[in-house]
Amino acid sequence: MAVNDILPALFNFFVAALLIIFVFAASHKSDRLYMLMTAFIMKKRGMPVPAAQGSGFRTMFRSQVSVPGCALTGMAVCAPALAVASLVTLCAGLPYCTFVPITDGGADIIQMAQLFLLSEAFAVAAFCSLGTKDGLDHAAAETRDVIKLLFALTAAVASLASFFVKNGADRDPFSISSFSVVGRFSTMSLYGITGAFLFAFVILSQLPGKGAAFSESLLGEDDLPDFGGAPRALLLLWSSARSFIIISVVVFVFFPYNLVDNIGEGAGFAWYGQAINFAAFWLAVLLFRIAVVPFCQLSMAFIERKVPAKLSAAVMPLLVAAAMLLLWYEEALLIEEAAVF
Amino acid sequence: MLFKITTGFFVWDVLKWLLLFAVTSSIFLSAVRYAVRRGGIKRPENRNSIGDDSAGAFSSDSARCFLEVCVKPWTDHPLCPLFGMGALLLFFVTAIFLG
Repeated sequence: MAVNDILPALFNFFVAALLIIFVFAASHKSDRLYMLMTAFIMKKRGMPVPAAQGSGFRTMFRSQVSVPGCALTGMAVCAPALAVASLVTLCAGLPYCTFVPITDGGADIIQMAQLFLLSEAFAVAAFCSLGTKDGLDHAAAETRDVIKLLFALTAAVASLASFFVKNGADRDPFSISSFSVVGRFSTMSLYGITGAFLFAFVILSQLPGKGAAFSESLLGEDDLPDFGGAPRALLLLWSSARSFIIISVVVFVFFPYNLVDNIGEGAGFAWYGQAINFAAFWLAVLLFRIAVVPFCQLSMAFIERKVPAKLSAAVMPLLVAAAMLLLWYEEALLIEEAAVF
Repeated sequence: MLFKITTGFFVWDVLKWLLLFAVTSSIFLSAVRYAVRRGGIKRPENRNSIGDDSAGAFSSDSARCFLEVCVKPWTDHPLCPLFGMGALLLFFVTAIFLG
């Protein structure tokens, strides 16, 4: 690297570090905000308020580190830190977390899924290394939830990429910047739009965590009482940041950039438009976290309750299959249209 | 280059990624180390450690169960190689249509 390149590279790293710290802080704060709102609503309705993660991140981080007696101490203490570090490297590839991506030029969504899996592996290793039955059960539940999420995510990415290729995309169909679908909605029929929204619904409803009932936290107050202190705090931070990043990817796909850019152009300043873009995008992510994700999760739980018990596990795969069929039908329509033309 | 993965569209600088991972993990690990040094590690006695009878969801039993229920019927099936070729063909066709 030439000397002239060092300063811009350092500046990129600095901006990226600031943005990534912002993402982690926003994920934690939005989780707390959601918990407070839910507690308020439950109190108003006279319902019993479940025990929250009473202490915040800072208090939990400062409390004494504790692991069960039979745990692999080194792994249980270090693996959460490595899980958060993997998530930071994932953020470093996303254009909206860094402005200038610092690890690669394309922010490939398959690479994102791989880094996501790496951080999951560290988190599952932390649970497994506790050496207790509860720890192993948490690891198994976490693995199951992530496989369900990745199933929906992979199906969505493959179907959308296939549609974009048919639609004449001349760049990497798996690059995250190719996935902004709002501009393409004008050329899509109702089938394709419904398929895209159905995918968003399924992905948001499958976010791992304790569910929409009270909090998105990975662990409740009563779960794994022997595991505490800094590693637990890092694991909870990792959990909320992971959900926030998945939500931000979904918002990125549906975010109306054209509309916001036009507002900026109207004012005549490029930076004005970019600043509005930035604020509007992250406000949309926050809104999704607080309102849309719980709505999707509660709707999915409602659908699963309404179908016969035997079929409740098949609801998610069936919805994914329906969304894929809708997008494939849209592709077929496109090909037919091109042939007629 | 050993540290660059390049496809038609996509360049992944693995060295940069490794550097970033090393820097961030050392930051978080030092934070955890600081917390451990400040307060020490408490190790409460095992209340429900893994015994022979309760082995949790990742036990070898469940792995064996998964193999027997989900994998073995396929490998025992006489048409197993044909299914394998069919799956490969499906992947190949998908790759052609996507690429």
